[in-house]
Amino acid sequence: MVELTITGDDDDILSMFFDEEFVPHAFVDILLSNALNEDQIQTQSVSSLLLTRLDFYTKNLTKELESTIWNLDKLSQTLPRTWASSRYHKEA
Amino acid sequence: YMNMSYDRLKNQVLDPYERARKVQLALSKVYQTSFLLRGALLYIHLSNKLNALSKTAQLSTSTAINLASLHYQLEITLEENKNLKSLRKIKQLDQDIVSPNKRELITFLSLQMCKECLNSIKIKSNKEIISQLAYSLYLLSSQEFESAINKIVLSNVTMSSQILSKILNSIRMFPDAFNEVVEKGYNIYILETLLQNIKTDNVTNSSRSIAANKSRLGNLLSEYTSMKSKAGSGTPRDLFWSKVSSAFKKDFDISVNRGGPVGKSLLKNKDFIINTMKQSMKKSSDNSDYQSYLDVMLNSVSISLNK
Repeated sequence: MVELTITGDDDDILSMFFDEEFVPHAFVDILLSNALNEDQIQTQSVSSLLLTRLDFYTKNLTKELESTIWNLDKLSQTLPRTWASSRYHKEA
Repeated sequence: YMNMSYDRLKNQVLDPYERARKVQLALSKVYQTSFLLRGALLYIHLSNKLNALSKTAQLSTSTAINLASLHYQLEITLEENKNLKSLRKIKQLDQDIVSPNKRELITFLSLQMCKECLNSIKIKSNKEIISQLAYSLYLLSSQEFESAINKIVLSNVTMSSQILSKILNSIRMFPDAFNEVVEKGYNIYILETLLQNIKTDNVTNSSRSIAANKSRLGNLLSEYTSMKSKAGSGTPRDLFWSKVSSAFKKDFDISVNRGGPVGKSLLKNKDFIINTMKQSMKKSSDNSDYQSYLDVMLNSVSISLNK
C-alpha cells in the first residue's frame, strides 16, 4: 500500500496528509519496515524521493495558507462595517 | 439581506477559515513526516557508514576514533529526534549494528588507552593519541571513560605500593624507590593536564552528569572529577597519592610496630625518610601544586615515627 502511494500521483499522496486519521509516525514506520529486508540503497532512494516531494508540498501548502490568511486579514478590516450595515437593515 | 450577508460570510470567511485549518493540519503532518523521515535517513546513512568502516579490517586506533565519532553523530541524531527510537527500522539497526559495535569499541578504546598509559615513556610520547582515545571514550560513555582513568591510576598505585613495600627492609635505598613512585605520580600529573586540555564545551551527551552540565566546566578533567565513583571523588592525582599513602602507611606501621632491626632502622632514619619525600615530591609536578600531596605522603609515616 505504501509502495503504491509513493509511486501514485501527486494528489494521492497529498490527500493522505489531509486525512484526519493519518499518523506520521505510523506511516514512516511502515514505509521503512516494508523495506526492512530489502536493499538498503532502495530504501534510501525511495525515502529521499519522498522527502523531495514533501518539501514541495510544504512550499505549496505554506503559500496557500499565507494567501488565505492574508485574504481573511484583509476582509476583517471591512467586515465590521458589513455587519453594522446588515444590522442597520434588520432594524429598519 | 440576512441570507445575502450570511452567504457572503460563509464564502469569504467561514469556508476559507475551515480550509486554512485543514491546510494547517496537513502542513503540520507533512512537516512531522518529513522531519522523522529525514532523521531516519540520516540514521540509516550513518549506521551504513559505521558498518562498512568496522568491517574493513582489524580495529586500529585511528579507525576506532572515527567510529566513535560516528557513534556520537548517531547519538545526536536520536537526541534531536526523540520519536526515531520507536521506529522498527531504527530499533533493528541499533540492535544489529550500532549497539554491538559500540560495546566492542568501548572495550577496544579502554584497553588501548590503558596500554598507552602503561609507562612513563609511552605516556610522554603518546600524549596526542591518549587525548584522542580519552575523548572518543568519553563521547561513547562517560562511565567507561571514568573507569578507564581509574584503572590507569590504580594500576600505577599497585606498582608504587609494591616498590615502597619492598624497600622497608633496606631503607637506605629509599630515595631510588621513592623517586620511582614520584615518577609514576608525575605520569598521573601528565594524564591530568592532558585531560584538562580536552575541551567538552560542544559535547551534548545525554549520559553526561547533571552536575557537570550545570556548572559548565567544560573539560575532561572537570568531567572526571564531577563523577561519583567507588574509587572516590577528586582528581586522578588525588586518587593516586591518597591510595599510595594509605597502602604505605599500613606497611610502614606494621614494620615499625614489629620492632627488630627493621623497625629500629626506620625510626633511626626518620629525618632521612622525611627529607627524601620533601626533596623528591618536587618532581611529581611541573609546578608548585604538589604541596598537598607531599602532606598526604608525610602523613603516611608521621604517626608511627612520632610515637
